[in-house]
Amino acid sequence: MIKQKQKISILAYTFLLPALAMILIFKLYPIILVIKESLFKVSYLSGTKVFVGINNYMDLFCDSSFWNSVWVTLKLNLLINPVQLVIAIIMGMLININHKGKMIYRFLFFIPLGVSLAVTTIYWSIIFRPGNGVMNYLLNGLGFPTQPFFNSASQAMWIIIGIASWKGCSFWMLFVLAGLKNIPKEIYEAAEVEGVGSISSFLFITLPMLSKTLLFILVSDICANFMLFIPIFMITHGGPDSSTNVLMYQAYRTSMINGDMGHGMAMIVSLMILLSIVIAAQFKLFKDNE
Amino acid sequence: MNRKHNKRNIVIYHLLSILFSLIFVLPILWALIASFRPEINIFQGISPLSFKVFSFFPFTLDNYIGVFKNEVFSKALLNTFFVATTTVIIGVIINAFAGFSFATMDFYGKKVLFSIVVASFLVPGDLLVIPTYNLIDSMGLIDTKIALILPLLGNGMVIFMFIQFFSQIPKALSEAAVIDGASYRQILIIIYAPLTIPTIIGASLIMFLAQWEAFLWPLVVSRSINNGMIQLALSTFTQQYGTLWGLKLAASTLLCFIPLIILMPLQKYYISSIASSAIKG
Repeated sequence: MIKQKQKISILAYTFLLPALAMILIFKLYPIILVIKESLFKVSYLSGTKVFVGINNYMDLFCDSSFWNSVWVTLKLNLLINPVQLVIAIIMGMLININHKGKMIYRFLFFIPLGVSLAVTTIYWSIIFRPGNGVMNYLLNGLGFPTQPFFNSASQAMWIIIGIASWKGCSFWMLFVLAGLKNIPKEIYEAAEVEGVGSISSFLFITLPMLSKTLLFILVSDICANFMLFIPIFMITHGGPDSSTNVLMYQAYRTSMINGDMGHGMAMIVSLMILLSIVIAAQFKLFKDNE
Repeated sequence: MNRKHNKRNIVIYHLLSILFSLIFVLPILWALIASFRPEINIFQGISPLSFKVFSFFPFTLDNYIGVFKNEVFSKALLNTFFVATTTVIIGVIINAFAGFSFATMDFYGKKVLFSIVVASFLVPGDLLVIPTYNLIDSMGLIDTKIALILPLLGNGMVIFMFIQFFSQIPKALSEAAVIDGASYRQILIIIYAPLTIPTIIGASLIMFLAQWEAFLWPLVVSRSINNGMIQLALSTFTQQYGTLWGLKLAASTLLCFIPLIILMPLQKYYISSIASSAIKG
């Protein structure tokens, strides 16, 4: 019997080994690597590596463009995550209603799941082309003046938000839908008998019952949007006037384009810390509300 | 009173749903139709706005022929299929075995090992692309297909899906088999394998889409067109003199419709896998 148990253990480890090794090497070891590398300075020309301690961080903290990137990242997330969450809830609730046309809407709402962010960015860059884009023709037709869109420091971020949300909301909607399906129908029926209106049943039944799902969506969404890169890389390149220069893009540019690995790594570590603080705050807020 | 109220709700329901549907469909539909027009007619009907925006005429297949003739794009398409398929096959096998082990077996250090999976869950995908680049560099694998595949193989979410699935199966089923003298391998093949197909399909879709949509990682790690990936290949139609819109729209349309054709018939598996990974929260 003991021998049998040992055999099972060995088998269990063999089953675990490949996947866990992959996760350890490619998902967790890079965390140690990024912290280690952020303490070195690599000379791009000679390739020599010198230990500089926290100097890379000191350089960043004295650099106003770094603080700008931190601010842009936070601002983008402060705007984009509530937008995506609210739209995902609305879409999930619409699709959850049993009514004629449900299957068609469901099919159409799923479409962005198959469209990559890069392709989404191309579509939107055509619609919002500053000079002769579709949106400007529509605006002109309605009597509004031509807008600069990507070329304006005040509008560029909103377009980035639009692009990421067009692609993202359908995905988060799936989780809302799964959450809604888990709410027992009897609660609504009881509420209807009691004469509770649809708005208060949404506020006092749906939202509280969904709270765990919504926290999950919010945290995952924040994780995704802290890394938002593609539309910024493809359209704005961080501009105009660094108004869309998020930390992820700045870190990419510093380490991969300028070859300054030390500073790039220090930015990634800063991004990691920033993200951890934001997510810890989310959980704390959630706990306090419970 | 109540009926009136209901009627108003139904109107709002349809208006909102149609609004969302239009926002999702119109850009794709326009790109699809415009990609069948010659380069000079791509933007027809936009100024002034007319029905010609959504007209297939003048019709041509040149853009699609051009896309497949383009070396960068056609190579990237083949590469992406190869990389994605390899990732799916190896990834599903190793993650399924890990999930099976966690769900059905008892062994020393289970909690610690499980916390590794959870930790990987918490690290967002693209965050560590740059240190991972350094790691791959030290392995001498820059600009190889292996470099594109390796980091996406171990997947905490997929392991989680398999744990969820395997722990739903009553233990009595495998215990009965053990008593009957069946080995673990037999249990896995005879009892679990047929039941697990929906989870395998869901996991495959998630891993396929991850490679299909990969952008930042190939951007960082691939150099030559022999290791190019599809999302990055789109930029080859933007050239110094301007953008070849016909080719770009044809390529974008292909990039949308290939995953949609795969995803649509299998969407219920995709959705239920995603839902199962969320329930843990």
